[in-house]
Amino acid sequence: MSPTAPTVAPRLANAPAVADPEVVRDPTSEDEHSTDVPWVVLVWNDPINLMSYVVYVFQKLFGYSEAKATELMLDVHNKGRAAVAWGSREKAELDVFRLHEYGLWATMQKDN
Amino acid sequence: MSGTRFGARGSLVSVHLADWERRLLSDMVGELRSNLLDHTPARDGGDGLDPSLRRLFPPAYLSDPDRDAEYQRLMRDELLAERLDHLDLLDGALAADHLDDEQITAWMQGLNELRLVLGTQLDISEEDDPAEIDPHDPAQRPRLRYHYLGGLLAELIDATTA
Repeated sequence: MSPTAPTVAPRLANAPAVADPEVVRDPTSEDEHSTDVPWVVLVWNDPINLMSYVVYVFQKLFGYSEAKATELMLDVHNKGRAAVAWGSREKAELDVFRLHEYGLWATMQKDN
Repeated sequence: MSGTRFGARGSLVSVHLADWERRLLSDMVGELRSNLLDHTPARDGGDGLDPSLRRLFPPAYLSDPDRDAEYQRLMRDELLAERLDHLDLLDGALAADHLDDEQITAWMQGLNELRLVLGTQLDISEEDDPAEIDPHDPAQRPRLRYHYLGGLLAELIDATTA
C-alpha cells in the first residue's frame, strides 16, 4: 500500500449532503437488500497495512474469493480507495467497525 | 528471517518463535496495552486522542462530523474493549506451540496494531527499506521492530492461507 491516502481523502468532502434515511423512511423496509438506501463502505490506502493482510481481511470479512479480494486490494493501492461493501446504514456501520478492528482505514458514505 | 516461524497444521498453526521473540512481543503488547488504557479518551470524538493511537480509532464518516461524533460516542468503548481483548489473547498465547482460529485472529490483529502505532510514530513510508537500517544504532530500534513485526505478520498470513 502506498502513502497517498491523505491527498485523496478531501474528495469525500465534496459528497453532497443527504437526508437521514431513518428520518424519512420506514425503518422496517431498511435492510441490506434495499436499493434506495444504499450506503457504501470504502477502504483507503495507507502506507502501513501489508497487501497480503488486506487481501486476507477482505476474504475473511466479506467472503470474497482470493482473486476478487486481490483486485479490491489493488484498487485501494493504485486508486487510493475501493468500495468493498454496500447495504443499509446499520450494516455499513458494522462493516466499518469490523474493518477498524482489523486496523484497516474504512469509512462509509451514501452511495450516490 | 526465513519463513519458518509459523506452520500450517490442519486447522491450527504451529508457532516456532525464539525466546527473545516471545519476550519482545510480550514487552510490546504490554506497552501498547498501557498506552491504550492511559491515552484513549472514551467517546470524545477524536479530540485528545494520543496521536500515535489515531490509526487505531479512525473516523467512520469523513465528511459528516456530527454523524462521526455520534458513531465514536457509541463505538469507541467497544473498539477499545475489542483491542484490549485480543491483545490479552495474543499475550496469553505467546508461549503456545499452536494457535487456534481465535488465537490466529488475535495475533494478526495484535501484530497489526503494534505496526500501526509504530508506523504512525515513525511516520513510515511504503518505500522504507529495512536493508538501510544500522542494526547497532539504538535509535533505529523502533524501525527495526516495525519491520520485524511486518515479517512476522506476513509469515502468519502465509501459514494461515497455505
